[in-house]
Amino acid sequence: MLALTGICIYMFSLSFIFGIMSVRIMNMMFKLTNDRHLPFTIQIINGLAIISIIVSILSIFIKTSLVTSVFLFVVSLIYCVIDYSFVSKEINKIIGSFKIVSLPGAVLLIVFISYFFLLAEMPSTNYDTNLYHSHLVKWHENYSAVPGLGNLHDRLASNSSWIVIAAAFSFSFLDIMSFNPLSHFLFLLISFYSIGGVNNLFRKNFNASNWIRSFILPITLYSYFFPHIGWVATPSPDVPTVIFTWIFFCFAMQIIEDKRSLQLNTWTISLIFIALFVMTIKLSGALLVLFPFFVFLRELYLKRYISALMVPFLVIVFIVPFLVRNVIFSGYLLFPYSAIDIFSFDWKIPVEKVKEMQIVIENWAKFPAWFRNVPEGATLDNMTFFQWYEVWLVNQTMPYLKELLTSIYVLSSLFIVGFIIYLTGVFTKIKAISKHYQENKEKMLAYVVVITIAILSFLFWLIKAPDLRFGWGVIFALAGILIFLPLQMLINMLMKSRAINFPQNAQTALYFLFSIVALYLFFSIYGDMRNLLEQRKAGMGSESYWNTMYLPPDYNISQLELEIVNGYKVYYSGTSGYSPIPSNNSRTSKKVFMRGNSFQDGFKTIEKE
Amino acid sequence: MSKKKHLKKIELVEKQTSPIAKKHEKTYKKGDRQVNKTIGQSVINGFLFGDVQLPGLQFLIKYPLLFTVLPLIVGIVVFFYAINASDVKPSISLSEELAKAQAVLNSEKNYSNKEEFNKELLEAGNMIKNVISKQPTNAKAYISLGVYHINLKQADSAFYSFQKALELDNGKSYISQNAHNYLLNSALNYGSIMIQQNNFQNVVDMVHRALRFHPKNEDLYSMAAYAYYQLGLIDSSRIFYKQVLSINPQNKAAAQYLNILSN
Repeated sequence: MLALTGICIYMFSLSFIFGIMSVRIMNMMFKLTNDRHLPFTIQIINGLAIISIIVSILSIFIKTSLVTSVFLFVVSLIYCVIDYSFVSKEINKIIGSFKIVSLPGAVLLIVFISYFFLLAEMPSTNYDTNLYHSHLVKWHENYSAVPGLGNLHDRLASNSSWIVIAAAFSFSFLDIMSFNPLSHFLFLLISFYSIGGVNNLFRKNFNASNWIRSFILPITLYSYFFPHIGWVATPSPDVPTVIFTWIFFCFAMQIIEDKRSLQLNTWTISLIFIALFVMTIKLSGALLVLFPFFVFLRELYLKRYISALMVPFLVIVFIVPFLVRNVIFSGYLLFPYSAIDIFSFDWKIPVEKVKEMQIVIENWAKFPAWFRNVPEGATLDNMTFFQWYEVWLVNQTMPYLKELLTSIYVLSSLFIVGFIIYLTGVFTKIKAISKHYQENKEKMLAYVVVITIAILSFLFWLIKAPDLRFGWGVIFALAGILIFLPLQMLINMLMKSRAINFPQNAQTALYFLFSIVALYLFFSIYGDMRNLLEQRKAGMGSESYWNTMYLPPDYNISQLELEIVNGYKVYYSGTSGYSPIPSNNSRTSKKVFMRGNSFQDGFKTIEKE
Repeated sequence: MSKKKHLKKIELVEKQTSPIAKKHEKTYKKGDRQVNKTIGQSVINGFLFGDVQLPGLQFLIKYPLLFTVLPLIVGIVVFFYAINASDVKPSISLSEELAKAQAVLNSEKNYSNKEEFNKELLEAGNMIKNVISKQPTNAKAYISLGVYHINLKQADSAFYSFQKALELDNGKSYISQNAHNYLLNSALNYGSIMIQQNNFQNVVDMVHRALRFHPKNEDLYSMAAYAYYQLGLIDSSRIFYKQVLSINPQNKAAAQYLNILSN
């Protein structure tokens, strides 16, 4: 627990320093003048995005180990010294805006930090972490990007900048254990961000972004503590994809509320950072890339060509290391999408295998083997979309999912219809609507862009890979926007008309009541979580719980078997975990050969005739 | 008038408080009280509603780099403190060594060449012993050592290794469950070998050790009963056969032997 706390503090401060560096980079690239400081959480995410670029590039050439960690630490210190005046100014801006957390906010902070300590004692609840995440982290800790690693097992070609960050902060070079702090770090990050929303609500700032931020708090708890989602102690890219998607949409709403448009400034560019960062973590967040595309078009339209060119430059900086690593691991620019097949390296995974993996991923999300309520003889091929949808919905385990999705469909339709009516009003020059449009053109456009990206991301998830763990982020973000945006407008109307005006004592009573409810929820959930923890301890084994006060539980290593394939040893088990290199989740194909004398040279598949 | 006298006169005037001045004074003082009350109220309001600047931040504003560098160093210090304070020191290299050794133990069928497997087996044994020498409380390593001894047909040594694993784990986890099963199998295996070698005293000794962990296993009681019988200790043999029947009344062999002993 203490060790993870130390690593999280270290990660927060390192990300903060790189976050300030990102602001400097933005100011230089886009020729921006001094803006209001970024929110603390956004600063952290920007910093993490910069760190991901650095470690992704380094991982192409060296293993992600001591040198990478030292490099990050030294660069952060050197930057603080070299750019001292800018760093000081930025910090002064942030410190100047720090205010006392409200009582409900303070109670929630204590509650969530307590949950953080509880989480730090739990081993991983994610099935895929034992399947391939932990082993992939081990590969990064011991080798630079290995050509054709996907030939050994297709899961090992899963390229994510999050896994490289996991390796960078695992400190495995100390030969103690491979620390696994990322999901705990994200828990703290989303907690701080969401509690900020609660704080703002109690400061009578009833903007939609604050409602959505607060709404995410109970969902975060649900996500972390109900094991079928599997967010605890895992370097799984699903977790940051969901969390950063939430933050992307919340922050977008915050920008529109604050600046009334998405014009270019450090805040909007941070959104670009987040969108590109999410894309390098998992392709299910790819549609967020529409936002940088919108910014690019907007700058072109406003004839700000230099700013416009900086956007594709940013895209290149983020995406190129990601694509290069894809090519190294699998031989394809995007894996597992064989449509873009332009290279012919000897380590390229055979195209049939890639197509097969793509089908497996999509089919598993649409029609997994664990579905129980399936009509006789029904398969994906012989069902229409609506038939499949009914079967899929009936088999989902999340409570109230049907109601949530229905509300999304209804509210999205209302939004689209409302927008069409509004546009019609503008073009037919209805006075009230035209006047409103002239006064709020930028704001309306901004809302339309954000909601459109959310709806398109939702549809992309539903059609391509409708597994809840991929769509968790966009479902709640879209639901939040569609529910709370009208709610905000209503409350603002009532406040303006002075229909709502709490007396001081009533406010105080409300805050105490909220705090008592938060504490009650903490104690009632805490008992369940302690039982869960004890059950896991009994099941996992004492060696997985070395000394939980100081050190967290380690990755699992299953009972392995050894086989010799084409002259090299491979370990295998159903779920290999953090097992010795090289390991596999099944017997290795006899067609896979080493490319050289060392595993660093990589693997290739030779189709024998 | 001299300058001094003029100044004195001004002082006197200033000391006099006209009603208007008094009124303003009261207001000013009242204002002070009001200001004081506002500060106190605002701190409470700030705490309740989160609207007041955090006190003590002026120091950080003077030394802004402390805000970034200090947490960095605190994080590193806390991390290394936790590592040093921990009683148990895990090791990636030792865990890996143990996993590799276990993989060899589980993979006899994957070797086409028996000699190659034997060579790897001996190497695996050395790796396990190395892990135990550096981590003497590693219960999982003792289980692996037991399995290693089983592979070498050293049931007695295997038994001791599983016993050690159980003592270290103390029933905390699935390790104990595994160790229990292995221990029972190695005890029975050893017993069978000793019976074939007519070494019945060893059988009795082994069964008594195993019964500590499996007090209700009928196979152990059967084995001990037979060994006692072979050693000529009929009473002890009878007691053990009765114990078998109390665990499993349907055990026909035990009932038959008991009948023979009674007659």
